[in-house]
Amino acid sequence: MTVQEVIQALGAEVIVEGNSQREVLSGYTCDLLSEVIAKAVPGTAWATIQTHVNIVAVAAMVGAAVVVICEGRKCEPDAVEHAVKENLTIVSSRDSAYTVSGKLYALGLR
Amino acid sequence: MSLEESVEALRYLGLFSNLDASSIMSTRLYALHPQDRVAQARAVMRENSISGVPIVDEQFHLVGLISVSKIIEALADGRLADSVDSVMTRAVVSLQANDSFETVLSYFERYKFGRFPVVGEDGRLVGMITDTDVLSAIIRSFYSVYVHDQRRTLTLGSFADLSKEFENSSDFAYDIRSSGLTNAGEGSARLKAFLQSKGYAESVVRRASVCAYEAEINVCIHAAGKGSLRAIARDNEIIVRVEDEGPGIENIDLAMQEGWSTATDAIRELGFGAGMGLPNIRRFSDHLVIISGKDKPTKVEMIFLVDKE
Repeated sequence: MTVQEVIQALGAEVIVEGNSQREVLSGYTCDLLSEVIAKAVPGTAWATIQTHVNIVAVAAMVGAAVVVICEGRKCEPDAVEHAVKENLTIVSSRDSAYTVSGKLYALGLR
Repeated sequence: MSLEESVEALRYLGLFSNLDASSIMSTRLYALHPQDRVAQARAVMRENSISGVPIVDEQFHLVGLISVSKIIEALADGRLADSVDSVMTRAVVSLQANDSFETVLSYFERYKFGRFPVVGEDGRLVGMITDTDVLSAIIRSFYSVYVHDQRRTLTLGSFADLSKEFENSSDFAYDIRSSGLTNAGEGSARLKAFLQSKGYAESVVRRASVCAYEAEINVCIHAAGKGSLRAIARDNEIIVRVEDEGPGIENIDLAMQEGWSTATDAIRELGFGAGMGLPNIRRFSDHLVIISGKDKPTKVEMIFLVDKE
């Protein structure tokens, strides 16, 4: 399943468009960056409520395919700037992290 | 390794640079005046299990020292009722309160005495240092060295060589200069790219860059964003060193515990400061040495074995 397909299934708004054809292999939900960096795996769709610039560093470090910012939060401008440089896709969903996780799970992502 | 070489290694590592004579000495003092009797000196030594008593004047200026051997001589000569003034050593070798740890060690080496009085700038006695005091100070200091590897605990000597290697050159170097958390993670991102370009397996690249990230974040959160991130890339291992300029980790044992953190609430709201940084580093590195202390720089050195997986 591609990033593009995941975005459509979530009905999320694209904030930064990176490689939308990239394959999404799993999902991970957490707001503690140390947990994410320790446990998320490459190709994951990461759901979080964090919006600051460091989510880009974390996503890049773990090799996340897409970051899903939950609760309709907006990404901070310097995070957008960094994500563009990193070619990282960031989307925003009105849903809670729980609902986003459920939807990702329902898509077959584990 | 001779004592002299050890002292040199310690100086190089800055291991005990926070220890001066005043932090080593014991300040619970038993001193006598010149006019006191030799018998009193003998009693003081016996009651307190000490082997020498400093002699001070009314203003507590150090004027002499009486040791066990002097007492024995006085006993043999039947002079226990004489004043200590008549039997004490006058040319006392003493340390200054601000003398370095290396100076203290070199005095033990040079003079072979069991104890040295410590005086302040005004010549007043402020403490005594015995070899036991030195040992205790070293043990206290070692609380701020964390070594996550049995092999390196046993061969800490090799750590000095490793450090010098970083001194000469490194394959990767990044100056951490971050205000707040803006650039936090930049160095480890570059390290990751560097390691990937060297063709290392994905898993070891991931472990090294995750640990570098945690250490870099710590520099940003705790050390005003000033430090360095360096790496040596070998065929069989990747060595990563992150250093900062302080304020240091007061208690490394606590810092190694999952969930323990000194980060502020503002930092925590951003998803940092969960107390997982150092525990993550321990988990993902194969060898780990941390050297720090209150108001001291922190050095974190991590080794990742390439073919461990």
